[in-house]
Amino acid sequence: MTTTLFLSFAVLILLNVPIAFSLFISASLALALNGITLMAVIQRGVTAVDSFILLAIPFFMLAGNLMSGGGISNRIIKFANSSVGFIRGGLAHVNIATSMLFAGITGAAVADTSAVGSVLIPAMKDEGYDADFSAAVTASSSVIGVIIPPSIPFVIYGVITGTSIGRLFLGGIVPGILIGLVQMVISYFICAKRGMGSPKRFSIRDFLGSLRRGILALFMPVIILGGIIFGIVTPTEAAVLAIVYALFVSMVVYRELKPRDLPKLIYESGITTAIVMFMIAGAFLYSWIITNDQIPQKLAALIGMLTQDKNVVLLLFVVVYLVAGMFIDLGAAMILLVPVLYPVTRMMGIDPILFGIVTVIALAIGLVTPPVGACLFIASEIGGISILKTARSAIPYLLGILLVLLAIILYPPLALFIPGLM
Amino acid sequence: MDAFILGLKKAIDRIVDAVAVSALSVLVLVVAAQVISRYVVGRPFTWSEELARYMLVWIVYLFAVIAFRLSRHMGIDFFVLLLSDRFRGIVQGAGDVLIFGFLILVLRFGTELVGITLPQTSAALGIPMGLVYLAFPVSAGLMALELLFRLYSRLTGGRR
Repeated sequence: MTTTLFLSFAVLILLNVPIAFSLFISASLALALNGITLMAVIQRGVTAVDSFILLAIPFFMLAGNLMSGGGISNRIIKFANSSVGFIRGGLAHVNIATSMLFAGITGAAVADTSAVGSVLIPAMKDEGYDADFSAAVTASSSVIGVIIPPSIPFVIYGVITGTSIGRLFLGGIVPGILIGLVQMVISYFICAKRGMGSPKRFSIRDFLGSLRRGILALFMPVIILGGIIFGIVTPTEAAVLAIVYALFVSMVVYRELKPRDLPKLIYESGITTAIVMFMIAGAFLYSWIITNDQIPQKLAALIGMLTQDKNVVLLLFVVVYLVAGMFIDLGAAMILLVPVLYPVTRMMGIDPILFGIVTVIALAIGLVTPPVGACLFIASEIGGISILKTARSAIPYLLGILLVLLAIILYPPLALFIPGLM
Repeated sequence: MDAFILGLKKAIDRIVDAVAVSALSVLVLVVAAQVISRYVVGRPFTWSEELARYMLVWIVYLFAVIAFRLSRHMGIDFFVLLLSDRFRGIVQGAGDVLIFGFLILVLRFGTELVGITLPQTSAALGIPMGLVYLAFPVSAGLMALELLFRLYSRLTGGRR
């Protein structure tokens, strides 16, 4: 069955048939050739989506859209400016710090690139930063959006593998902060070398003022994470709280979001949700077939002949993710690869939380690598610069992310210490 | 005839949009109500979780139609972009034909599945399971209509 599945899937992908349809069609074909009716396909397609955990996806999408549309993102940018804007390369640090704070609110990286980039890339160009650098720092730092919780890719990984989403969220905190700090150090040196963003004076008055004005927006990650860490709410319930809180802050307190803006935000959230979840439904069939044919076991046996070293296996999978990430979107790549690779890591005794964090970080790099990288595209477009120029300037930042990834693989407590407390 | 079809298509699109957006809004309220019932009242509703899950099924399959209409479902266009314009058109057409065939099959077997599962009722709400499975064939039917409409507008001069 798997041969039919893979061959027909490859043909459909080459024909530019959307991934979700390619999964459904190739799985239906493989099953039909084995005498399984299409009714089973339809039933599985529906039950795949019939899940309370998956409700977290539309809710975190909506919370993120409410946040970026309701004046909250501007306040976060101002707060970041007053706290790190004085260092050399000020606006680059502001860009990274904003992405980190934003990451605690939204679960997607692309929302971060457009929300932060549309404000900060023009501002950076005005202050004399090179356009390629401004776009590169925006795209690379928005990757943090899917690593610091909440994070939609962690929800997808948790659903595919049956791993606790709460613990995955907790595991993302330290790696996400580390990536942000490494990127700040890199920005400092690049700005010093190119002579951009001369240092300014730190003003405690501005800092306290922006803290006071932004405190309600900044409090949001505390609510979401606090609720999950202390086991008070499930990720789905936390996502609903996030929506209610975002509505309250942006409509009642800041009064920047009008009721008539809501349908458009809900519409957009629904579309992005359906894109991801329709693929998840197709992937259910796909993993049903590959599990049935014992593909992961065969792959594990093959890898076992080459090496028994967990770190080597993880590094090998990182390479697979980096290559896949160049061509496929983060969510789609997870849906296609995790069902195959995860069982292998279990047989090798690799911690499921660790593998989840390695998976998300390695595939998130793909958001910035050409030829296909959503964050790279958006940032280049806002910056009015070619994709290749942005990509070239992003290389140091991507190496920085890889460095953190390597550190986590070699020293797993970086990711596993906090989830271990739970 | 032309104006009639265009009007009908627009009306269907608007209805799908309105139902999908309203359903997602209500879904937020249902889960918010569940959180309140659990943490404020202390007695969780018995119906809310199941209702939320079934609404999610319908919401996903309706928004999948909208995403299809807007060509937002993700594909890998890297390879077709390497082809010449004319060849790319042929390849895209072949892809659409395959999708159309699949959608018609879902419509055919989906309605059969709905018929079989209609007598089964859900655990908490007691609604017929067929109504949940109905989401997929309805979605497939609407997507197939979209493809037919695209073909129609291409044949009548490529307006849109």
